[in-house]
Amino acid sequence: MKNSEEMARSVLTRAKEEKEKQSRIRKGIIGTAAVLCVAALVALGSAEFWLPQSDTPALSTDGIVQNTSKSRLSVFSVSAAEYKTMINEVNIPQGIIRVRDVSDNNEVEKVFIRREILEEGEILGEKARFSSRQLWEDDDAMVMMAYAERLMVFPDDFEEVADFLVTAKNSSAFCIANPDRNLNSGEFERGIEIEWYLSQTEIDMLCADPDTKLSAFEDVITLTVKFKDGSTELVIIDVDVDDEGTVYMTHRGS
Amino acid sequence: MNGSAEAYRQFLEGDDSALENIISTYAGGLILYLNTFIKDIHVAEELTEEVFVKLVLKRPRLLKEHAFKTWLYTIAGNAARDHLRRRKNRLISLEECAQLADWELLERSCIQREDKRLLHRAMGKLKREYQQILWLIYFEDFSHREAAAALGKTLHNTQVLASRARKALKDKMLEEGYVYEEQ
Repeated sequence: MKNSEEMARSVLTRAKEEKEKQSRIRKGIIGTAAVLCVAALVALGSAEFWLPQSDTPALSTDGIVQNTSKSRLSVFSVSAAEYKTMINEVNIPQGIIRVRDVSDNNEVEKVFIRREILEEGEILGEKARFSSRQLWEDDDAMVMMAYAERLMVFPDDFEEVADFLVTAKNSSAFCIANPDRNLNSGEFERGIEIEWYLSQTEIDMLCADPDTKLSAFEDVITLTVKFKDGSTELVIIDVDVDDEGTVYMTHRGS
Repeated sequence: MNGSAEAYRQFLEGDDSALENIISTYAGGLILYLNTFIKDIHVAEELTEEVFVKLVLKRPRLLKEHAFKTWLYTIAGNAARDHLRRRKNRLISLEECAQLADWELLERSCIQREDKRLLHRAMGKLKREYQQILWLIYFEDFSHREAAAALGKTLHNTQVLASRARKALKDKMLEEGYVYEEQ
């Protein structure tokens, strides 16, 4: 094993190499990610989506993120300056910001962003992207859940970008394939990590569903998920409740 | 401000030589922590190096000792999870004996007290997530809130996990004939 001096030397050398590599790919990565993003969205078939120009400010002057449509999947970018606005000026409690639908000016959506990741973004001083998705109560009442993937922490890592898109695609596919949000009827591609977040309301609905019989108070639940090849599999899902009462369900493998 | 925080401040001001102090302070603990995920002391060492590479690249402005430590352990946990996700099958190492010797050497240098080493070895027989929470709380003096941040869990879940881990550790130690003294 290396001693401290050897490790420090190795770390500085690797960091220097990594900086050089990053500067080479920095310009290319954002464009590539955008192309991949569009490809993933297109792959969703009937999904409508809103994808603003990267230069479009995501924050309005009053510091509230505005969405231009009631879309099924929104991807937008915020700059380092906007991060600062969110953190310092808007003073977002618990990393929550509200999204206003400009078509009728009603606050219909909430975006959940982890504060520590915002701070990472600030440190990076890079543009970062937030992916959001919506789950439907019905046609009009929407619950929008958003999550900041670790992509934002290491935006130059191409594999992270690809993973993020795969995850987003499957999460959305789950929503679209399951308008009644019956987890038992979900169809997934095999071999892909699936992660999705549900609102407390949805968890309550699932708990009340005699077919799913979930308990929001359990740490782990098991579900039978149907895959696209027709097979079924028992999967284990971690259930996590945050301070806001939002329940996060994360597929941890079968 | 203690020595490692001071070293980090110097590092932020451009003194790369301060990095050696930081590594000297934190590398051993990080390797043992990462080994609870990876179960390969050499890969854990490589990932620890990656954590410090990220530190050099990101240079987070976290001047408080605990914030800095939490950042390191959070990045370490992410690195471990990424590694596990990419490693499809566990490789069977031909160097397990050498690994064990390295692990024992590192454990001895990081954990001075014999009773703490016994505790650490008993922890090694528990589920990974129990090992991780117990390492942070018992050996790194993390509060539940800091451990929650490092593990990416909620405070409530961390408290529940810590309670279950402590119970599992107690059961394991009793099962192996240790005399358990309630704190």
